[in-house]
Amino acid sequence: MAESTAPQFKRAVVALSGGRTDRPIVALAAEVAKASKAELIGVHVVEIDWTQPLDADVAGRSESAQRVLDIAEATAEAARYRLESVLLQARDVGAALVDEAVERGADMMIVGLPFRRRFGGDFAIGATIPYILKNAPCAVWVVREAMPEEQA
Amino acid sequence: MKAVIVGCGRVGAGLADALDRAGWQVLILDRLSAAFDRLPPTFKGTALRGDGTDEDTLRRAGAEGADLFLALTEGDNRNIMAAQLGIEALGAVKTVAKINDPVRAEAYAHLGIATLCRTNLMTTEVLGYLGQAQPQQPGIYVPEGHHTHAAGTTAAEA
Amino acid sequence: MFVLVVGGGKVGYYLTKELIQSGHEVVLMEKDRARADQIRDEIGSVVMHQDGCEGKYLRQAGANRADIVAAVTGDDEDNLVICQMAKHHFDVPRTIARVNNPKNERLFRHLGVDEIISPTRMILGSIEQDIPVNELLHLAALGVGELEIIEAHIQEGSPGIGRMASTLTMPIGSSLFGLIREGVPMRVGPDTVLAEGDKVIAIGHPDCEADLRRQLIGEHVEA
Repeated sequence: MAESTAPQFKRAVVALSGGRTDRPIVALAAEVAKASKAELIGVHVVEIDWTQPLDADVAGRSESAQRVLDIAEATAEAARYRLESVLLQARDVGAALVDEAVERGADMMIVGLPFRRRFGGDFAIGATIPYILKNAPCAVWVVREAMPEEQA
Repeated sequence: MKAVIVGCGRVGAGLADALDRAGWQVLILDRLSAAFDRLPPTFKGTALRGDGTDEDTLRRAGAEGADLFLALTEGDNRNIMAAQLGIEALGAVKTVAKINDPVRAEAYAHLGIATLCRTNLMTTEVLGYLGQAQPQQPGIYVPEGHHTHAAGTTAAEA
Repeated sequence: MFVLVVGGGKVGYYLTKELIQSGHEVVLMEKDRARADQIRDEIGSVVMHQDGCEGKYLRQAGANRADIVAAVTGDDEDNLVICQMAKHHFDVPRTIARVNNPKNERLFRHLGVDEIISPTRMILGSIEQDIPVNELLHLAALGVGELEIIEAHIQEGSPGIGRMASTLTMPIGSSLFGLIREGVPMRVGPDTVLAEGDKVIAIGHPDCEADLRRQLIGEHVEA
């Protein structure tokens, strides 16, 4: 498979939202990374609102944040691949992910998108993914989960 | 008895008429003269076009020393400001401000202004009509004590 | 310092930018979505698209830990409410309001707004300084106690000429503290004699103005 035409990257930031898309995107990233022995960095950002100072001790104490990283690591391990997990604390998830990708020199970012509707029935994409698509210098994969059956 | 009403909407016009009939001396202001079409032809009070949050306008209109000052425009903040002008600059005895945001309505009652909250009034009325349990949100928040301003200014005023 | 700026017009926008540049933590609240998005695109995620007059959103913006709240919208009534909510609801130590109608300055100060910025008053002040016929100039409004610094020009025919400072009956709440004679600043002592051409600097409550004018300038020279 050395001449594989499969898409390749050297270092990918995998955005871990803590939701149900985390496992599938880590599994996908691990499979694709195998071909080029790429580095995977799983990043979970704990958003800290303005009621607290940015350096408040929140992310480090959060058990749920730790669980997000554990699940990602376990998923990668199950696919027999290594994933470095990073926990960040920031005002804005999108900006923190883009900054991390730039700092790490990542050439790929992979984000999951759960299928959701807003009140009123319109598809909801949120604010983070549009921000990443607009601002990340590297390539971005958005992996949207399948539409739930009752909504399809 | 003298009443100043800022805002000639349906409620303002209705109260102006009622107080006028009851023998009060009524002064009503609105930014639009068309608003005065809501007043009945029998209205004997004074209707003036002008900004009720402008101290000069209120003084020129003779709004000083009213027994009752009602701020009933469509803007919560305009009403808050007019009411405080009424109390602090024009010496009104009793003041009511319409504040439709329940949070602000309660906050200003703590600062000593009687506030009228349409949101609470209507919610309560509809639930009452439906026979549902009524929430503990009053339509009028009774002021707590006198109108107070921040500590720190009082010393300087002396 | 954590500063909460409310109102993303020209003033709020440049204020936010400057504060960030000087290393302060800033949140800017702007209720118009298009405007909020526009500023966010340029200066980043410090912009919150919400109405700063609402207590709920002030809390979300961090009013509970703000050192300063600056209300710089174009509407005086909004600026008043923002400062009062900040002060009384969130115990913000310092509130600053932009006031468009100079007549509102006293009310705002009286109601506990710590600092009042009046662009109208500033421009007015600078116009007054350029017009020699007005003998009483407002040099500055002091933050405390509604006091003003006033400059009075002693001109020909003024009742103040030739009088010793101690013989003037200064209105209560005012005080002469200096004068400028031929461009040289001087202290005013009890035996200082006022002369034509002097610029007398006084500090006082705005209510004293009429009396000061009568003492130093006289009524007949009113332009």
